[in-house]
Amino acid sequence: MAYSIVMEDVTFTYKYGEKPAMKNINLKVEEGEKLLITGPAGAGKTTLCRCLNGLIPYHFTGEFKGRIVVQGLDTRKNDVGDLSSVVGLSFQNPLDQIVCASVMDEIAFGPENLGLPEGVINGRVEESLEMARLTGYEDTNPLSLSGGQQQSCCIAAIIAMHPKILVLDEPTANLDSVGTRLVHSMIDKLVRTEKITLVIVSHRLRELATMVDRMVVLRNGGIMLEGEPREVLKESEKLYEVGLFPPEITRLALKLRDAGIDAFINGKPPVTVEEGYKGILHAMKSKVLIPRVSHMISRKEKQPKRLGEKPIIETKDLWHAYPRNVVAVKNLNLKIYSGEFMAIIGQNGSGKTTLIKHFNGLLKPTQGGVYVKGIDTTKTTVSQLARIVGFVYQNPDDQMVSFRVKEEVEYGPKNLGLSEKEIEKLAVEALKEVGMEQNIEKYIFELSQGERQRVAIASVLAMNPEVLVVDEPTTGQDPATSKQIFRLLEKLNKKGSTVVIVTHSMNLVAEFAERVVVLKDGEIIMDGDTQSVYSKPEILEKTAQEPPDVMKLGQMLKDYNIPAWVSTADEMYNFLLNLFKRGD
Amino acid sequence: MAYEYEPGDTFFHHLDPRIKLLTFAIIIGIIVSISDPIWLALLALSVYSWSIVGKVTEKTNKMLKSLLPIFIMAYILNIAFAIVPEEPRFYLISLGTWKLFPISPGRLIFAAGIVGRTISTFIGVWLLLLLTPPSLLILGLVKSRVPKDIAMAVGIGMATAPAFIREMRVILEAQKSRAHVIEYRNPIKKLRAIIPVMIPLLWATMRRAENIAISITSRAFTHDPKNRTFRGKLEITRKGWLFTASYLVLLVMVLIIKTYYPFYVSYEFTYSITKFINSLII
Repeated sequence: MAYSIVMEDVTFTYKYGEKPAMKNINLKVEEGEKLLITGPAGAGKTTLCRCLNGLIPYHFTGEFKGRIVVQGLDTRKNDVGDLSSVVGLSFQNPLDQIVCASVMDEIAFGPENLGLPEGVINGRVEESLEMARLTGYEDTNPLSLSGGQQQSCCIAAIIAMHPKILVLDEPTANLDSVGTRLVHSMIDKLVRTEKITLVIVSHRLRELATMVDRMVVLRNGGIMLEGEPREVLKESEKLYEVGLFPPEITRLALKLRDAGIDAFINGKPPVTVEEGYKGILHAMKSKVLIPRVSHMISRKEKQPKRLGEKPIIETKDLWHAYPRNVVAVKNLNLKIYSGEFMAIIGQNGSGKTTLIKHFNGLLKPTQGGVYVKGIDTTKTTVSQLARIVGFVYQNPDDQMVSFRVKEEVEYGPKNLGLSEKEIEKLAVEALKEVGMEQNIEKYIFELSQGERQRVAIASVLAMNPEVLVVDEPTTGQDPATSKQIFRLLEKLNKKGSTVVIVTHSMNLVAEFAERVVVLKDGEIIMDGDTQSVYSKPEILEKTAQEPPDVMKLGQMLKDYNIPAWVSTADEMYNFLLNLFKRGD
Repeated sequence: MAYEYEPGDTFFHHLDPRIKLLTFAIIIGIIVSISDPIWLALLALSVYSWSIVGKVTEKTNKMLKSLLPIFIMAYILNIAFAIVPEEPRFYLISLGTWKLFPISPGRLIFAAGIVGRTISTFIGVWLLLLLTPPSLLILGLVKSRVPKDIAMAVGIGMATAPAFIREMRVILEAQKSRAHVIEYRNPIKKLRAIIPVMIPLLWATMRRAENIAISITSRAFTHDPKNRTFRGKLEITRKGWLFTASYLVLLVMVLIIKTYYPFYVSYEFTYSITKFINSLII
């Protein structure tokens, strides 16, 4: 059997690392095999990728033990320049990879570095453009493409080098649902048509579990689970332990199995909606359930809370146009009330970020008005509005101005001109709120991405705003961290903060938000409580927002009177359990 | 002053990058050879006219407007520190024996010449980058025998600049959202206000530089730089040669005048004209 990758007892500790980032890894990947690597943040996934093309130990130095052979080349005896001709490595953030001013140049960059003749390069560029569905964008600046297209361009740039092994390190972590679908369809095409060995690092288990041959779960630098994807997904308890969540349909089937209802297919848990449907139908047949059972279960109602009569933020006939007359928001009327937990959803370019930047005056209306507690945002400053509306950015590192956590959290209150005593009190309280009080003396760079996001939230909370506007907090975070952030926001909301969140995480919106506003082309196309919005999947689909899998399953099972609002595995489980009990 | 290549279909867009680089080098030659503000103003106008041909006047004007404070500052500093034989007429600041900031007509004209040089250079560099795709510029540099790694470093730097500028905007907005005030009219206050922004910016720059380095290394950049190939062909047209020749003729003229009649290309030329006009008025 020929192996593309052989890792023998590999341990690596970064130069300034306290403990090994990867320890005693033994892994063999066959030629043409498709391998999915997953694990929580800090498990060693990226370190493993860096080892495969020699970035470790050549670029990232440290203590390296063991042996790695890729396509017959020992990574310690060949440098990155040579290894990169056989191992193509693509990273998480497309903006960290784009180095040319046109798509065509970007794709040709690698083959040019390999010294290939012009004719060959042109052929490869054409083929890669087609693979990435970027034909027609040859002269476009990659920076002006959508996130999904940018990442497809970066992967195409690697494919153009014709590597024997393709390593994709979290290729969709920074993308919205549309971008993710685009990149996954490209990977799917690659898997089906190319004999390339693929190693993909991702948390997107739902989409990738059905595409790959094998799955490896890393924890604390070592291999925790390994095997055929569905077999690994069966080990849900172990996955939960490390903050990973099996796909919703799989979770549902596993819960049903624990309750004695077998919705597995040929002994394996379902992953996709179709498989879930088949599995549940099979279980129903074995229990002889009759469709159209009149059945009602009550659901904990999630109606938006309103703590006041007057809106805290109101937009009246709001228009915003960027230079060159690019209209981002059109005639938008929205009222946000104190105490609400509201999610704004919509695909990239729908005007979400433009809208929320009006709430603290970062952007001023080009027509119409925005009123925060009745104050016209055009007649006040951002610093004044910051006392009412706190804004948390997608990337916590964009906010950090200090080296230490304490100084960082005190920065906002200092800008408000508060006394030393008040500043310190507010900072400590804010850190307590986010569960980071023990890190008050730490350096920012010592913190993980999730911890930095918490500090970013604390640094805004310390200004005591009434409204918390949070822009895409889960981008680039692992599932456990994403959920933690939503739980934190829920906690703050329960204590009285108004929360407005922009996100693409439809599952988390279903679980936490009380009100959902759907934007499309700068206009509100739907606004209501989460249940009623989620009850109209056809409208969500129009905005390229994919409804949660459970909801799709519910639609397929509509003959069993599954309400349209059922959107989480737990809700569906309760409903089905009730149904099966009645059947008994 | 956000730089980003501006695609187009004009004479300047079609000029061979080597011609643009050569012409730019000739212009630098002219700029360093003369110090007379009238000549330099004409040169700056000539270079500015490229923006009209390249249909990028709006962007160029915006760039010049954003740099206006720097030009004014340069003018003031050059008045103060100019090495001009003429005696100062008066001092702007006079505290007892302390006499600072000497002012004289010669100093004013000399400083105008220096600013003229700065403006001409800025417009030249700006238009060279704005009207040339980075890939062609790299190719132009390589074909002009600039070492390949240096050419690539220049190109990558230019291509990643827009992403860096976007990041800077986000960082500025993030600080404003935390009640940080940046819009001061007082330049010292403004400078002090920008310092906190520098930390995330520095952090972001270092992170991006590191990631770009990793990315290009992983794409075989160091595989075999000597035998790297470049896609695309370059061709110098007759019009291109004529374009360069016109500036070359100007350079030769300036050098001849500088050798035999240096007075006519130095700041003293404008100074004598102003003196003459002054005597007529009196």
